[in-house]
Amino acid sequence: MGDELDEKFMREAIELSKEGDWPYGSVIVDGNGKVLARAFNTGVKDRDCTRHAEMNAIRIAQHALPDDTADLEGCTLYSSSEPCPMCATAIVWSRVSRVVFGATIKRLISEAGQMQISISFEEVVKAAKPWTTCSEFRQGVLEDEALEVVKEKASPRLEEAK
Amino acid sequence: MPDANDDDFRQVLSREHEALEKRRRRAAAGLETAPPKLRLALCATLLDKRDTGILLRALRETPSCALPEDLAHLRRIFKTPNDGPVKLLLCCSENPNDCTLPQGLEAMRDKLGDPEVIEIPESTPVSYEEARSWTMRYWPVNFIKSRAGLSLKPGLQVLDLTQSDRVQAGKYLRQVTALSASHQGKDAALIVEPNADVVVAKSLDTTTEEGHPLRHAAMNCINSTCARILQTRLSKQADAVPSPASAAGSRKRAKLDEEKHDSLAKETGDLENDDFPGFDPVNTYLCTGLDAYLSMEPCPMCAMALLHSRVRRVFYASPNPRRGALGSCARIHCHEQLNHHFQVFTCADPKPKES
Ligand SMILES: [Zn+2]
Ligand SMILES: [Zn+2]
Repeated sequence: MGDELDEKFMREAIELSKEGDWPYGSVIVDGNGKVLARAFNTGVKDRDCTRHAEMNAIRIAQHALPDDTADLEGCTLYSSSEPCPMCATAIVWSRVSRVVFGATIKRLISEAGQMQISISFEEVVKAAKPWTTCSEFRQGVLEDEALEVVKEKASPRLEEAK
Repeated sequence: MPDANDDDFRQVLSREHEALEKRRRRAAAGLETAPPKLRLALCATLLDKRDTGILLRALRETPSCALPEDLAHLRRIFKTPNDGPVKLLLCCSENPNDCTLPQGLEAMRDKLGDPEVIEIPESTPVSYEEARSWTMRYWPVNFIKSRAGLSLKPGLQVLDLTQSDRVQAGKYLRQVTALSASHQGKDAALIVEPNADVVVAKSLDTTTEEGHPLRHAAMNCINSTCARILQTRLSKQADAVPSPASAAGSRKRAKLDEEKHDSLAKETGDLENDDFPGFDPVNTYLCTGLDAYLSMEPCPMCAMALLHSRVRRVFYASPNPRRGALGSCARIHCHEQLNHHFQVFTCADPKPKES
């Protein structure tokens, strides 16, 4: 998929991140460029810590598949921010082929004050080499835009939590 | 359960921490531990023992004789056995052939024998026993408790389970293993409120039935605990609201959530739908204060979900050498930078017991 398309879907993911309980959004697109899922973080609304944008998107995409095979091989997952290790492993288990994300964990920690475990997506995928079908990933796509939303939306919430 | 205490739980620590604990236990049992890392130093015999005080002061006041911070376990004086000569540690040394007196100590020349290069333990002893054995073998060292461990966050330290902890853990670990065994060996998970001693959620792995690769037992169990908390909160809210219109609205919402929960219950392989006396969902934030019991060590996804859920402790029965993220392939919970830590215990062979 070309850079232009990547930016288009990334922009969608960033738009979705503005809707999230925490500012993260995700889009899953199949091999023909058809959007299977659009999702954002619903951790607070559902009071469920596993409702990260990527997890929600994977669940929606699995239900959207015609034969409910739940196999996302051939699909690209876009995420406004680098997937945490939970989501990264979920991406491996659901056989997503390609991942594109905006803000890296490193910058989420250093610039947006987010509490993130500093294990990169690359590390998880490398460790899952024997099973993973995720053959390609791009990071830092529209990174500044994605990060801007996190800074704007998350900082007041972090203040609140103090 | 009078005999439940023979379950032996092993806490899963970081590799570094585990090696340290192993060494500590061996030393305490009087067993041989790996030799310390040694480094070169310069020592000299005191010609008259009555000069000990003067010499110690001279060493303190001479910059070239200062010992680095990480050698604080070393003693300056070595009183050799049977009232033999007193030796002094003068300074660290880099060159095995250089026996010149350290700079600044020249005035003490006539009170000391010829300096000699020796080997001293650079490692810090982890127990009295180890300090004693190194003292006999190399040079006198002190056991300093505050320096003997790794500096760790509270959640990463060794936690000694109490007798009643062990009884409870044994009970639920057997329960979760039995649950798995009665469902063709599918992975099973329990989430337990430890003070009330009740099971809050019970789940099986439902990946194969529905073809959903994320429906691992631990994941399902967290989801159904969270759903239960949300559901109870909503119905409590509905009961508490006085205005009939909004109460009806909340009730409707609670009802919708109940339906959502029922479908979730199906998805998560939820096995019970009882009330749980002693469990207070309204005041529970995610899984704070709850314990997770797993028939199998979790994969990284489930391990991270457990971290996100803020459970208190995780117990698992069998290790998963291919995918386990809490001991086998990775030890995610030992990561220094987490904002939440839980302790992980395993019991490789929970004994099947009656009673
Ligand atoms: Zn995540
Ligand atoms: Zn898992």
